[in-house]
Amino acid sequence: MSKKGELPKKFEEIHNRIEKAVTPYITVKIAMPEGIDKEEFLKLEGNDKFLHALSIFVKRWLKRNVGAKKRQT
Amino acid sequence: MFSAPIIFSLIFVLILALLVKGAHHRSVIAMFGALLTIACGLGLGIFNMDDVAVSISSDIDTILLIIGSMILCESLGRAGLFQYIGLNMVINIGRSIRWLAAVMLMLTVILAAFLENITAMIIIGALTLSLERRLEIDLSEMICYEAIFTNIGGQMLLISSIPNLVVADGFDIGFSRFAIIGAPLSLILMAVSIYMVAERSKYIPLKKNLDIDPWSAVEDRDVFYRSVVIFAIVMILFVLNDIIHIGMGLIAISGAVAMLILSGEDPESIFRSIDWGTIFFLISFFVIVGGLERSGSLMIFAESLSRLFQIEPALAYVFNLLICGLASAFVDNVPITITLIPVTKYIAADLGLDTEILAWSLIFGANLGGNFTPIGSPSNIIAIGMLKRKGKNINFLEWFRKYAIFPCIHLFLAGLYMGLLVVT
Repeated sequence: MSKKGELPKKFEEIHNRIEKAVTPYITVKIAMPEGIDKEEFLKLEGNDKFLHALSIFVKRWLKRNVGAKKRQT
Repeated sequence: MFSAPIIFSLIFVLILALLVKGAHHRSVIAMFGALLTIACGLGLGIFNMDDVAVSISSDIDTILLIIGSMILCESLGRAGLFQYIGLNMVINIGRSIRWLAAVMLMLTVILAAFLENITAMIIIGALTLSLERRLEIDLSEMICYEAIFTNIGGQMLLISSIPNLVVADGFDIGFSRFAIIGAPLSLILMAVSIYMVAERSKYIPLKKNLDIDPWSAVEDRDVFYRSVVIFAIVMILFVLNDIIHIGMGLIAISGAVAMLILSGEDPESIFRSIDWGTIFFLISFFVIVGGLERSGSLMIFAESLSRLFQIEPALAYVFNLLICGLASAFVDNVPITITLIPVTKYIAADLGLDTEILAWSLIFGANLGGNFTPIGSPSNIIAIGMLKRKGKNINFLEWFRKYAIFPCIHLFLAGLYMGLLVVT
C-alpha cells in the first residue's frame, strides 16, 4: 500500500455502497441538449445550485405523477 | 572478509531501511531480501533449497489461515454483513456527537477484531464520511480516532492481525486462550480511550435524525444468511480447535471453500480481491529471518540481550513490549514480530522467564505501537488518505502531538496487564 495517502480501489466500492444506503441516490445520464455551450453544460455536474434545483424538480415530479396515479387507483 | 552473521544482518538492515523509505511495494522489497538471503545462503553453503522449502512449509498453517480468513472476510463484506452491522449500530445514535463517537469507536473495535485493519478502516471510514454528509457535521477528527481504535481491536482475537497469527503459531497459543487474554485488555483500552475522546470533544447535539434501512446495504438476503452461518461455524470450529486439533489453517480454508461454493459470488473476482502482496511479504520474511537464524545472527543478538537482562530478568518483558511498540511506529510490525520470535524464545529459555507472557509483550507492542505515527499502521495511512481527500493534511508532528498520548497510555496499561499476568 502507498504511504502517500492514496486510497485503495476497494474504498470506492465500499464507500459507494454505504453512501447509497445512508443517503439513497440515483445516477442519471443527461444528453447535452442542442444549442447550448458544451463547457457550461459539463460544469453542471459539480454545480450545487443545479443539483439542488434538480432535487426540488424530482420532488415535484414524484408528487405530481406518482401521487396522481395513487389517487386514481 | 565479512562473516555470515554480518552479511545476513546487513541484508536484514537493508530491507528494513528500504521498507521505512517506502522505496517500492513492501512485498517486492521483501522478495528482493528473500532472494538475497537465498543467494548468500547457497553461496556460503549455509543452507540449500530444500532447507528454504522446509522453512516456508513449517509456517504453512499460518499462511493457509491468512488466505482462508481473507476469502471469508471478502465474501462476508460482499454479502453486506459488516455494512449491515454498522448501519444498524448508527441508526439509533440520537442525542449528540459524543454518543455518535462512542458508537462508531466501539464498532471500529468490533470490525477490527474480525477483519484485517485495512478493510476495517475502509468500512468504518466510508461510513463516517457518509454520515458526515448526511448529518452535516465535521467528523475529520473521528477518522483519526477510528484508525487508532482499529489497532486496539487488532489485538483482540488470534485472527485480528497478522502479528497475532504469527506469534500465536510461534508460541502455540490457541484461539480460545488468545481471546481469554487478548480480549479483556482490548476492552479495557477501548473504554479508557472512548473516555479520552469524549473528554476531548464538545457536546454538540445532532440536528438530524437518521432514517436508514440497514438492509439496503445487503443485495441478496439468502447470500447474507448463508454467509453468516458459514462464518459462525468457522468461529465455533476455531474455538473447538483447542480440543480437536485439526489446525486453524485447514478450518479457515474449508470455510473459504464453503463460502466460495455457497455464497454465489464469482470466485475469480474474490481471488482478485485477496491481498496476495501480504502473503508474498510474509513468505519472504520467513525466508529472511530463516537466513538470520541459520547464520547465527539472531543467536548473537539474543545472547547479548540475555546477558543484559541477567541484571534484572523482568526487564525482558518491558524491553519486548517497548522495542516492539516503538519499532512498529516506523517499520511494518510483521517483520519486527517474526524476527523477535526466535530471540524471545531464546531469552525465555536462558533466563527461565514465562514464555507466554513474553509472547504477549510482542503482540501488545506490535499492535499498539503503530499508533505513534501516521505511517505506523496501514489504517493510519488510510485515515490520512481520507482526510487528504477532504482537503485536510495531517503531518507527522501534528499526528504525534494530537494522538501519541493514546499509544503511550495503551502501552502503559498493557505493561500493567502483563504484570498482572505474571503475578497470577
